[in-house]
Amino acid sequence: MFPYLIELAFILFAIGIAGIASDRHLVAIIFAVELILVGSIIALISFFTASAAPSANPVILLISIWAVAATEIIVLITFYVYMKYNGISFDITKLSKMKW
Amino acid sequence: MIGLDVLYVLISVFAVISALLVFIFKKLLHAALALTVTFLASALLFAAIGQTFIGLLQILIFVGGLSAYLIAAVATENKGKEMLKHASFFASAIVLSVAFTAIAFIVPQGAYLSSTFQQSSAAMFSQYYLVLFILTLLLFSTAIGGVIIIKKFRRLVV
Repeated sequence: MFPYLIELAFILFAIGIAGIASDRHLVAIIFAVELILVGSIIALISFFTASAAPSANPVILLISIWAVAATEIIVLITFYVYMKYNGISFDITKLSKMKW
Repeated sequence: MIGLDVLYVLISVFAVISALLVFIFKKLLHAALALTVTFLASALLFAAIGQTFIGLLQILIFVGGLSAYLIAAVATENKGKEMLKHASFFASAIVLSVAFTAIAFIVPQGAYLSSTFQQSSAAMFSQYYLVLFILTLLLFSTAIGGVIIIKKFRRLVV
């Protein structure tokens, strides 16, 4: 068992948070959220492998995280195509409307 | 044992460097490829610690599905440039090839018979099938909604 799994999860999570805080491009921010999700998956697996409970099964939690990640990518691509062909800037500081 | 530790450390360093490269690269296509490498490294790590089933699903969903989809979408960034169109095609092909090669390496002989693998797959399709069904519906409705939004917009333009 790799002893530094939780540290790796924390590093990936921190890189994702730093990416969200520093980047202004919409797609880069979604990439950062994906990194956070990967970090959370690694953390979940590290807790699961450390757990002594025989009935512990992380599959359903993992599937939920994977579903969130996949939904996020679908929404990103919809927004990407819409914003690109509508001439809307990807800079999130320039987005001021919630209504299309 | 030391060899296995070195492998863990190498995969972890690989994951962290590629995660950093996501924000260092200026082109979205390159950033998407770096993100794919992070997904792949995490899947390899899961396989290395004995969670073969989760590593396999991670490769199938993240590397084979999401990354190829993401690269294909991001590659339309500069639509007119032939060079980038070819680059995106090759990038998607390479990602898919790497994903399926990784599956061949990640699933050793007889892994399907291991207890962890069988427990995880059995739980997914028996105990939690309702949750799986709801999540599938969520994904499907999101995809349909995305298509409707894009089609609505195209009607306005054309």
